[in-house]
Amino acid sequence: MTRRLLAVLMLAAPLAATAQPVPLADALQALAERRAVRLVYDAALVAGRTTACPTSVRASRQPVTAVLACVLEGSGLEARRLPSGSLALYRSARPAPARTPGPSRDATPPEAAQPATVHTLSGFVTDESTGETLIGATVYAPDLGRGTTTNAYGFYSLPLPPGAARVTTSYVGYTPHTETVAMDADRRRDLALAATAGLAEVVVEAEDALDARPETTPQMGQTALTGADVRALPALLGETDVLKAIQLLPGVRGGAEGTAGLYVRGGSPDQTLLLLDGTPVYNANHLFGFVSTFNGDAVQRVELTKGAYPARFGGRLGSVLDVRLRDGNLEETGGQGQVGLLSSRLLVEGPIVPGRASFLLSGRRTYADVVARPIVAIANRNAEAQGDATVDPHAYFYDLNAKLNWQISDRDRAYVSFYRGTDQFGAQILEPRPDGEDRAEVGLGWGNVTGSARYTRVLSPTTFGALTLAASDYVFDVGVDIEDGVGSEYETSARARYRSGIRDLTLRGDLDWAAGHGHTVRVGAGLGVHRFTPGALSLVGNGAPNTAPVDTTLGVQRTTGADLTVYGEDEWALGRATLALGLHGAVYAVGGTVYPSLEPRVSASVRLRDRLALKASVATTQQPVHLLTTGAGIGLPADLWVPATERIGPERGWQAALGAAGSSPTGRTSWTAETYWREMRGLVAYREGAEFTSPFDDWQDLVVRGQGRSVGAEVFVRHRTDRLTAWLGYTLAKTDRQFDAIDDGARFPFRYDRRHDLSVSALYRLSRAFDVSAVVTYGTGEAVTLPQALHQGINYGWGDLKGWVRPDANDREVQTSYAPRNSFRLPAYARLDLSATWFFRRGPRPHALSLHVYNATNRKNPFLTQIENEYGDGTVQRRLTGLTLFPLLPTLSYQFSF
Amino acid sequence: MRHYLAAALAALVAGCDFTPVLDIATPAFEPALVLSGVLAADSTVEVSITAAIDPYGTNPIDRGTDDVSGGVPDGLTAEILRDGVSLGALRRVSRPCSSDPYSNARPDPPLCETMVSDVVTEAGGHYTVRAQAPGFPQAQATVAVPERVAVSLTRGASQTTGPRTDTDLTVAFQDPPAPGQRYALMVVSGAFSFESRVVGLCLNDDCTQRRDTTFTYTYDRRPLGYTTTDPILLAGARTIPSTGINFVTFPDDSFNGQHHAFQVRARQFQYPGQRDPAPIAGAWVVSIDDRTFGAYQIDWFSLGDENPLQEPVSLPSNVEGGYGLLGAVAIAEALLDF
Repeated sequence: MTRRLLAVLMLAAPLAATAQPVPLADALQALAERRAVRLVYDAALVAGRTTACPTSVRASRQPVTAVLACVLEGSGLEARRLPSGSLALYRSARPAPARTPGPSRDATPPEAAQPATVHTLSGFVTDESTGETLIGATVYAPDLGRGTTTNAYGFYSLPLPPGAARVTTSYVGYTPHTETVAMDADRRRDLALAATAGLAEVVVEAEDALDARPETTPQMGQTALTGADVRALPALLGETDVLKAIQLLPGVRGGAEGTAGLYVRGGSPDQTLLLLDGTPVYNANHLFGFVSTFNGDAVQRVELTKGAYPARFGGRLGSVLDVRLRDGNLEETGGQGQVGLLSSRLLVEGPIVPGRASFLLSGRRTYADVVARPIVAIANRNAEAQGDATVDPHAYFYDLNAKLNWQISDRDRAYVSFYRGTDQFGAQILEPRPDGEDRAEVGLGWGNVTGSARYTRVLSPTTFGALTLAASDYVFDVGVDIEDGVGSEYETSARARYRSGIRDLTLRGDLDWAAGHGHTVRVGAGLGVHRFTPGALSLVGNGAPNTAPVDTTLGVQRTTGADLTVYGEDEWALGRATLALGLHGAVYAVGGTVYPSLEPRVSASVRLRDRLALKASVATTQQPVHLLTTGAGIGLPADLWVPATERIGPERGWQAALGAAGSSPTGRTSWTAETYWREMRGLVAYREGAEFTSPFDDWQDLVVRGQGRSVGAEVFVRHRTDRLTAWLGYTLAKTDRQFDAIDDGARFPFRYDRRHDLSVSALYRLSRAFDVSAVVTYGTGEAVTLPQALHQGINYGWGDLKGWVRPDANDREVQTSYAPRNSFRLPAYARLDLSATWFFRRGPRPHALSLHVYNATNRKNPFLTQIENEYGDGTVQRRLTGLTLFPLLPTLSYQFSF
Repeated sequence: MRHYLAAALAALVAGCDFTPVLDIATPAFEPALVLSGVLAADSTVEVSITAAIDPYGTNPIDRGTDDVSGGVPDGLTAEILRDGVSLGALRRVSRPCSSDPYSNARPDPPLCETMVSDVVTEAGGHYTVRAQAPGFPQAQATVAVPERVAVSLTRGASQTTGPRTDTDLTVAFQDPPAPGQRYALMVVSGAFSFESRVVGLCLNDDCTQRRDTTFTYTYDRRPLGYTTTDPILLAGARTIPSTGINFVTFPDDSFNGQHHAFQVRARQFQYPGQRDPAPIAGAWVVSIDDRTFGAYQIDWFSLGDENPLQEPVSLPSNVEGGYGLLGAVAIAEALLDF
């Protein structure tokens, strides 16, 4: 702390003129040493300040608080005692007389006060200890009411009038930093913030942090979480999960219980653009959707934009989830890891060239298969001894994140990101027979590989450019390999393998320009090539009696599409109003067909009061890909991504929203309230009865098209104090679908339509070593289709005319007639999750032991419905039951660092 | 302490109930009649008329289908109408549920009741089956029996390899100009008609009898497997060229109004010691009404109601006031000399 204080003082000294004989920092340090009291404060708060408190008082034996009051007299600071006994210094709640009240991002001072020229303060904001850039950090000049946030690369550009400017830099989880900068010319300031370590008291000076003030930006429906936010939440089986944290936000819900699907404002999961360091990820599921592919350890920041997302994004109908990985520590090599019930993970990072280049490597793997191997071996030995079949199962997933970060110069940087994740499930079965052996191997797997290379350059103090080359490859693969009678006279073999996938290659350039006070312009363009293989089946068969050998590949419906996108964004503060205009232009070409689209995105806000703004937005979007899903929507890997084609065009939609946002005077509590209306056209669904496409079918023959509508209101309240981080989200919504060829064209509720949806999460720091957190979720039950009547009918699936014309019991079956689709509701969904974390040190490094309790009340939330038959004497009683997957599930996990 | 442990154990056991009964509103069940059958051109009428079953109630198990059954309602009456004019009442008949003589040889074989009429339906006619029973709303369904197409059948080369004999056949017909025709194609053999006499003894369900069967050739038709490379048939059967097909349905989308010929290869097998196979009798091109085709497609595509992850779907219905489906087909047969 002292070193940092001195450094700040040295930095600030030439910038801030002072004539006082006793610097406040010196007085405080002397007081702390003399009275053995712990003072906690941000060095920037005291830098450049002085005290007129006489030495007689400072050296007296008066109570510390009295001495401190004297020392702080006139400084605009006040002291508060923390529960630990330390004294924390805060800026006084009463504004300093000289300070301009009502700071706001880009709030325009009175016209008369506008200087004729401006200079630009620009630079990067980084973590002091690791050198990593901080995305979304606030750089704010409170006395001038001007501020900005860092972009996705940690760069900021803030036009300021000539003269001295006090500038505060802040970021959630970091100690704010304030310094005074002489803006007599364009200035470059790379600002480093110190993290408030998990074991220390946190002095929150959040009142000027723009990320805590949603009323300062015209963007609606946008929420950002840090990796730390995500890791602090209770988790299913201890697997902290980015997507499940996002599910707690209003307007967002998951799919089936425990799964990581994102249904944002009534949209399906494909309508959210998932970006991992700027690269699209198509299937973000591990373990059939119960775990997402994003490893929380490697994530720096996650930002969800639910409606009217900025024009720089495109290709999805509803929302954008932008996941940014950490860059890697530039200063020292280290790492962290977790040992959990389901999986373990490890992250290693460090400098390649200290201060200039770094790496980050993070991996995660499940180990149920490894743990079970000895048990399987024993079981197989017994089976072998009895002449039974042996089964060797394998089931695991792993993922790997890697990132290289190279600061070529003060202006040039390069990044390379890589992700690979794979799920594998299957078994090898060996069955002995008298004349040989039967062998079968079945397998199901899927995985993503993504990579991006990015070069950024500070072109001028006001202009920042980025060039990105990104590629992704998603593959789903299921196969069976059978060899019968191996070693016998009649050896036969058959192999079937079904494969689908998507391969993307994208090149894009982006340019950010701080055009002037309150005026930001962004432009960019991109070119993408997308190759879809919805499903290809290869069949090989040999030696079956009476059949010819088979060696064929079916259903290769490979489609290649290309898109060219350009965009422009212009955000302009006009007095109390801020207008953000955007235009996203896209030309998607497939076969001989071109689908052009011009998608305007407009957001506006008007400041009614200092801490209150009204907002409105409207946006149109086009989506040239579709996701064909099973009815359950649980994010199965077999859910099929298909492109817009000449026959089945893109989906189109628009969304309008109106709302308000505000924050408390301390900046500790912020809130948003929004209403929205969404229309979606050209949606794709399997036609009735045809729910899983096969290579024998052209998927285009199996789908019907329709539309969707979603209307709702959302409230989000977030509160941060020294000890408590909490948020509450409530959504009132109605979402439906309409397809001419489903349910006779009637509108029906979307399966995940929730009239009410409430989430409350809270993390409370009991002491330096102990955190507890709780999450409560409650929502209207899922919409389901239930049987209305049973009746005897013809078994059409018998496969011939037998029994059609002449009823025969052998060709009869009990059939079900269903009530209109999704016209009934499951019981309300409710869940309480708890966690407690104990932090401790082994050597210099912090460790932690966490207890997660999923579904602490053991509520039986149904995953799906089923009919259970209970047979009696010549009768059967049928009862509607739910299948619950997750009862009360306690899990211990251990986190370590080195 | 022991009580606490017991309580904790009880809580854990309760926690392991993964299929709780759902106490939620379910669709109200109302008694209704179920009409189920397919009218065939130039055939007499036989339909099944039963009572619908409460999906959430306690229901008797039918011996014939070994599943829940609503049974035939007391006082059931039904009639058949053509173009709104009654052609007469259907009469209730009871016969063994299964056509398998082995099953019916058991003592007290389960009986199934159907409603029959001697009325012979004609291709192109619009027929209505109307049913009433005390305590049930009237149910009726109307269907147009499709027109039969004229089919030609040409026998090509035959090749015998081991026990297998492949015979090339060309089945051709003229599709009417109106769009939306739906067809099925079968190759049929002359079937063995067999008279069975069961000897032996059954004690409860444990039978030790054997069949004493006499086979004779008749003109009864049985589906015969065939292969094809025709893309329309392969798509309809969702299979690959070398796989045997017994029955395939397909739309006329790609040959609407045209004369179309299908090349198929019928397969017969005769293994050493076995008697001669039944000869190829001919081919059927079956015109199918839309709803029957739709019901077949849904049943064929979907994995059935057993898959809880699928979006459930009702089969098509044309029954007003009740459930079920009255379908219609017209079988056009082209025979070979044998």
